[in-house]
Amino acid sequence: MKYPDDQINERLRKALLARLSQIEDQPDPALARIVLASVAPGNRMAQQARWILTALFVLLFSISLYDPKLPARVLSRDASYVPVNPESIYAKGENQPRGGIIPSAQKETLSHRPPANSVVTATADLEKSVTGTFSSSPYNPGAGLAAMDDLKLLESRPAVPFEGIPLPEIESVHQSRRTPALKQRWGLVLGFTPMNTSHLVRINSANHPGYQNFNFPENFSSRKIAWKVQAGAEYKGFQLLLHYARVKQIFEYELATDEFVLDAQKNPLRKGIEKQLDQTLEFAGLGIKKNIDLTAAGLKNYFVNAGLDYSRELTSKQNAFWVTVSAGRQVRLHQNTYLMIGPYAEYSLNRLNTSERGFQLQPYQVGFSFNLKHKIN
Amino acid sequence: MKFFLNRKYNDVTELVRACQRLDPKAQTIFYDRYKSELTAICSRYAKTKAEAEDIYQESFIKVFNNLSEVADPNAIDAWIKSIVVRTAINYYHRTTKNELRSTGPEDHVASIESDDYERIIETMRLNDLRDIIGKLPDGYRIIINLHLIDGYSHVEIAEMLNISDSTSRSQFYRGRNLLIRKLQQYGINSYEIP
Repeated sequence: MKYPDDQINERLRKALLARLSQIEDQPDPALARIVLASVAPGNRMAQQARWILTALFVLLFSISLYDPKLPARVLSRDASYVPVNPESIYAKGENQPRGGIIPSAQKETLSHRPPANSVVTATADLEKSVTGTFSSSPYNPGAGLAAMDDLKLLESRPAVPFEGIPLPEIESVHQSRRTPALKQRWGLVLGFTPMNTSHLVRINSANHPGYQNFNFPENFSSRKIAWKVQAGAEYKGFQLLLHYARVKQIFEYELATDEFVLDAQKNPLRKGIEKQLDQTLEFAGLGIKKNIDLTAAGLKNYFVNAGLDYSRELTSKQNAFWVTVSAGRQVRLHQNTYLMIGPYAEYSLNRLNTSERGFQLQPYQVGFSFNLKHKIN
Repeated sequence: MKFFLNRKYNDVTELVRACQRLDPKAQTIFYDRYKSELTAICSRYAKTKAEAEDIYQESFIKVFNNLSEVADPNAIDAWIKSIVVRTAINYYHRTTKNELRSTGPEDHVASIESDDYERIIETMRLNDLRDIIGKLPDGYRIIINLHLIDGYSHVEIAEMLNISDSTSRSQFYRGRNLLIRKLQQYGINSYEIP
C-alpha cells in the first residue's frame, strides 16, 4: 500500500517521538559543574572584576607610555638653562661656517650629537660660542655640501687639545627625573590596601557527621571586605613594615541531619540545620618585603613587591603567616615622594580556627594597594 | 499542584523567578529539571556525543544568561527548546560548511509502500536509532529534526537556516527518504543476523 507524504510524515513523526522519549538521558555530571560554575553570581562578579583589573592595567600601562618632557617655559626661568634644538645647530653649521673653517673643538662638539629628547645645559660661554661661530641665517639645504667639503679639509689638520674649552654638559631628562631616586637608600613607607577576602574551608569530619550547602557571598561583596594599613622603613629595597588589618567573614552553611526528602526527580536530599558564620578578624603584625623598581625599557616606572607577613589575630590569639605579592606603577608625586599603586594579593600559609570547631578557614585576599614612599638622602 | 518538593519553590514560576535573582539553589534545581530534556534534544541534533555535549553546555549557559529576559515563566519549556535548537543550528553554521546536498541516487526511495520503518523504530535499540539519525548529512539531519520531530514549519526553518522554504521542503523530503531507507536497511540487516 502506498501512503501519501503527509501520512508518512505523521507516522514517522509519531514513531520517532515515541521511541526517542522512552529513555531519560543523563548528561555527563562534569557538565553540571561547568554550567553552574559559569552562571554562579560570584563568577559573574569575578568576570566583571577581571574586566576592571584589565582596565586598570591598561590605564597604568598607558600612563607609563606617556612620558611628558619638561615644559620649555620651566627651563627658561633658569638663566643657566638654554634650550637648544640640536637640529638647528646642524642647520646653522652647514650653512655658513665663519671664514670657511670650523675650529676642531667645535667640530667635536657638533659630532657629539645629543639625543633628540635631551636638554643641553649651556653656560653663557657656550651660548656665546654657538652664536658667535654660526650665523643665525635660515636653514639652506644646498649649503650643506659646501660645508662638508670644508669639513674634509679639516681631517688633515692636527687636533687642537680640549683643555680650556668648555664642553656643554648634556643631561638626559630621564636621568634627571630618575637617577636621584635610585641613589637614595633609605625610605619611609605608609600604605593602605582595600581587599576582598575569600577562604578555603577545611572540614574536620571527625568532629561532626557533616556540613553541607555552604553558601558564600558573591565576590566583591560588602560581606567580605577587608583592609590593611601598614607603615615602616625601607633600606635598599628591603621593607620592614608594621601592619594592622581587619577581615570580615560571613557565610551560611548547614549542619547535615539524618532526615531526607525527595526532590522533583525523586532524588533524596539530606535535610540540614541552617547556620551562619559571621566574624571579623583583626590582625596586627610585622612583615618583611623586597621591593624592586623595574629598570627594563618600558617598565621603568613599575615595581614588584613580594614578602612574608606574620600576624597575630587579636581576638582569638591565633598566629597567621602570609605570603604577599604586589606589582604596579610608581608615580612621582614630589621630589622624593612616590605613590605606588597596583594589585595586591596575600595568602595565608596556615589555617585559622573558627567558632565552629568542625572546620577551619584558610583566608586569602586580593585588593589594590596604595603606598606612599618617601626616599631619604 | 506542588511542582517541587523543595519547600522554597512551589511551581515553575517561583523557580524561574528565583533563578532570575541568581539564587544558586534554584539554579541547581532548574538545571536538574531540564538536563534530561536538553540532553535528548542535543543528541538528536548532533552527529557525535562530543558535539552533543558542546551544544548542551553552550545552550544551558545561554539559558541561564538570558533567563532574566523571560517575562512569562509558564512558557519556559518552549523558550528553552528554542534556545537549544538555535544553538545547535549556530553550532553547525560555525563548525561545518553548508551541507545541503544536491540530489543523489542514494537519497531516493522509489516507493514507500509499507510501514516497516514504524516497526523497526519501535524494536531497534535507541542508540542505533540515534546513530542512524546522527549519520545523516548535517543539512538533512537538522531539517528532519526541526520539521519532523520539533514541528517547525518550513517557513520558520527557512528563516532559521537562511534558505528558501522550497529548499527546506525539498531537503526535508530527501532527508526523510534517506532516513527511511537507512531504517529499512537496518531492519534487513537485523533480520539477517541471527
